[in-house]
Amino acid sequence: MRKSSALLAVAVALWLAGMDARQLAGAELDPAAAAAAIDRLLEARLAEAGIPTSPPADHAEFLRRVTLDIVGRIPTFEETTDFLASDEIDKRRQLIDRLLESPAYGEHFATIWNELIVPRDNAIKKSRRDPFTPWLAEQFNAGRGWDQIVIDLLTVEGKMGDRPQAGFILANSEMSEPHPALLADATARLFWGVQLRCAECHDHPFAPWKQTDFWATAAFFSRLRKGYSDGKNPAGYTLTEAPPDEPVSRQFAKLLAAPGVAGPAIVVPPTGGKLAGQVVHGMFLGGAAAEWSDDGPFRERFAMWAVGKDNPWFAANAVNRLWAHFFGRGLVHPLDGFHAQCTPSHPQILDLLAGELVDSRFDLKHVIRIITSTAAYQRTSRPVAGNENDVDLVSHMAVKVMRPEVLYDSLSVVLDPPRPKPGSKTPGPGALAPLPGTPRDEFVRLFGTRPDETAGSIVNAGVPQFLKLLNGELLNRPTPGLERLLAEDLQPADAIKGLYLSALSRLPTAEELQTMEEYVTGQGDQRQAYGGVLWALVNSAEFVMNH
Amino acid sequence: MPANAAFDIRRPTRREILTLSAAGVAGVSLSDWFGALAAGASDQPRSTKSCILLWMDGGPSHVETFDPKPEAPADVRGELGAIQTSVPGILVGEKFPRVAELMQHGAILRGMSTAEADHGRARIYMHTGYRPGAGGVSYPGLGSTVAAELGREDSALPNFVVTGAPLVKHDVVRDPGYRGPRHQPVVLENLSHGLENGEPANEISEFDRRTRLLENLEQQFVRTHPAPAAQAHQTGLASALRLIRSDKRECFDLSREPETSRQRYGEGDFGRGCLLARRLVEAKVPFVEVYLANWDSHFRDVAAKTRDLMSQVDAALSALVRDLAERGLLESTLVIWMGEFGRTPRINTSGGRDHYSRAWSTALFGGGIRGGQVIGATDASGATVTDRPISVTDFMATVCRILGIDFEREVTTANGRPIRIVDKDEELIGELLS
Repeated sequence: MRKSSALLAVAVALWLAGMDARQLAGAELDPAAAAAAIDRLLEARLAEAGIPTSPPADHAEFLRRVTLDIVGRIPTFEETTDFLASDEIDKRRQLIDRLLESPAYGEHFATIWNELIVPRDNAIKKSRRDPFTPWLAEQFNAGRGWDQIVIDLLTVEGKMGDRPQAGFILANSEMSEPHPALLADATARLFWGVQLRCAECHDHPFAPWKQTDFWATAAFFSRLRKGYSDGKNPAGYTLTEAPPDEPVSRQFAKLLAAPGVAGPAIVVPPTGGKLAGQVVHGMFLGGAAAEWSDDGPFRERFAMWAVGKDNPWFAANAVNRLWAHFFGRGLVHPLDGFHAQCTPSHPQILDLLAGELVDSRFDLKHVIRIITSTAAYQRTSRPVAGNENDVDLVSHMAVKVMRPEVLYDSLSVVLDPPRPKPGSKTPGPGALAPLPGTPRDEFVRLFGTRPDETAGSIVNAGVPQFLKLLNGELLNRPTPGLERLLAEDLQPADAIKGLYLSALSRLPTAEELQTMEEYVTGQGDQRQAYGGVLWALVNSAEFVMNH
Repeated sequence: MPANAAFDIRRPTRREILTLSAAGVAGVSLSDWFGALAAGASDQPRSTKSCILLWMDGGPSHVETFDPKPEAPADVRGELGAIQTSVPGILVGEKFPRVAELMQHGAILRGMSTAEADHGRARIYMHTGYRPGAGGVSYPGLGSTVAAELGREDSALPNFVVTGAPLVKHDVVRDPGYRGPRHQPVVLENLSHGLENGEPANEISEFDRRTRLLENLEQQFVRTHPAPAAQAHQTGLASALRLIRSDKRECFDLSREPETSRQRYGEGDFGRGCLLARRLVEAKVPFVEVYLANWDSHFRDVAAKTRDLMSQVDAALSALVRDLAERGLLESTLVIWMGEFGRTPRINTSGGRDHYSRAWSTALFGGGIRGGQVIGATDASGATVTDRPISVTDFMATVCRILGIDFEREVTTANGRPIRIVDKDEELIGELLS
């Protein structure tokens, strides 16, 4: 066993031994009980502010929302009709469990995290094969602890070809060398919700971070280097930690501490403002200066601290990001706004959920079960008089914009619905068809600009995108979904109801049905008529929003 | 992870308030308010300026274009000579004879000194005025800024059009940053297709019938869900439908131009892009960016091919400036010629020139600037700025001032951070401002 992995194993064992028995016994609360506690906290704040809550969402609204949020697409026609027809008392809970068991859950969250970790203009994203997203999906689907996943991302070593988790470090490289400053920024922002980047060049203007805090975090990555173990084959690249006094690489030689400096350290580069040229020693963020008595490697110790109970942000950031995913806004807003003086909208909920994450051994599915079981999550997105302007007390569900991948997959559900497996009423998992003539990557590129993840803005409402959907071929030619509907030779009213259920996961109102019937009966050609109804439904805000 | 589209929550302009109230819950049908706004807003006097950015992607050599060094040794001067211009004393590279005749309308900034010499980073820096990644904020490019500040929310044509950009490589051009999706450009990848997806797929009567269904759905949803994201969708849909229904869409159709004018601009994509830019500016589009790529002349063969790019620039830029002047639009239209940086003064061992951001040139025409002048100077070899250095913020602030944009204003991003339109510590290039 290599020295570093042996150290890691020891560290893990020590860390587990340090946790109290309650945690090891799996003392997490029942999701329903935790959800009820959260609802009491939310409602107390709303009552105090005199803001009324909106009524519960009906089954159709809940089904569409929770399917979009957990598996990243709208429900199919069959899923919708089955769910609406079911008279099981706890069908919402069963649905949540079913969705979390679907491989699409891991794929959806892997897409989201891949987007956060690997910027769209990054070289890895352009390379033909991306092993990182499938790896993430596998971890999420296997229910692996979030702390363990992050430890993997931070400590990966060895041959890149065999280590898909190297995606995080490779994404934070410059000129294809792991870059300590980028790694410090990404680690703090994504895993702690802490914005340290401003402190790269000067003390942070709106948070108490000093420039030394940034470089003291970067110092733990200063010895990371990429080598060429077997010739020029890119899969043969290796990531290792350079021993002390050995140059890391040609490019970052300048970032290495001078020989003779004990412990993790970094020399601040010329762009580092008033710290330029100085040696900064590695230090756990917000902690006291540490004594380093040995030669490392230090990255493992850093990783254990980064996800451990002495880190004030790791669990809180994870649940805050999940909360923002489901409610459209974090308890701490913006998502990288954690610092000593930040004021979460509901500090007790943040604590409760972070505690649940730790107690469940960082089981993300457990936290998702809690969040989606709350009455707050299951409220309608329609405001009532008196709560229209509420954005952070969760009086009604937020209207969220679909990510481009989600829009693509949802279009696919409507235009080319997955066929049921033989002998079953429900479609098989992963059965989504690619949209004819429209590669997913190309669509995602057109419909998503660079995500401003702290604001949570994914864009799909510019003129070019509208033109593509309104006039492009995609929604203006016969599609398999429409052909199947036509083959059933339905009465107009039934066909229209079918189209509403497929696209909007609900039945039309009487008034809508009448308008659509008038349109359909005024048309000579059925294909054109139902194509027109579908065109209108899919181009509407109701379709492209998650509400 | 989450999503909401509450972009750019600055104080709304009067026009936005009008649009919002018209789109509100008053029960006015969408088709009606499109119509009313279009009728009321179409022929107001021109009160704002337009900008055409000719983006020289890859970074042209300043020594071979707007800062020639005819006295320098051959390994600096290169193979190209220098020629006189319409303004006595101002020399430009020999490939710009037609542009030289129009120098009285233009100003050359020879003291550009920026600190980014990597294509990707410099492209972002010179488009946004901010170092990439600074403060963890995604900044808008000049086009999105101009569209947001000068654009008309109610116009049938887009406020920001890009052509010639190889999209796969350059997300920066179409990234509206914190300005949000309303200020994304319409990108024309292929000029011979005109405006992509601009034409309804059905006959107009059927398109109208379908659109009525859609507008009903939209109105109903926004009424029950008056959230920023839903409202942004409604606004975007309205813009797209206005564009589809407007006869101004003809602007994109270059076959309506006489053969002679197409010849004057040059038959290449860059010439066609400049011709399109003129047509769009005539129709009051505030910002058009025309890309001309392949200036990255590290090697002899690429360097040789940039001669042809210079000739394309000469034809198109001169035709553009002449046409704008003839139409009385030059005073209100600023034409910017620039890349992301210049190139090393000394020719390298491969017969080319490498990236160089310490000293380089940009050129401005029209827009009401004081023309016929050179501002700043470099040393005998074009290696360092000896007079009047210009930083990226100086440049951006001056362009904003020329266009009538208050560059000191703070815009609040979606997550509540106030950001100045142009970063502080700017010094206006007063020589340009009359």
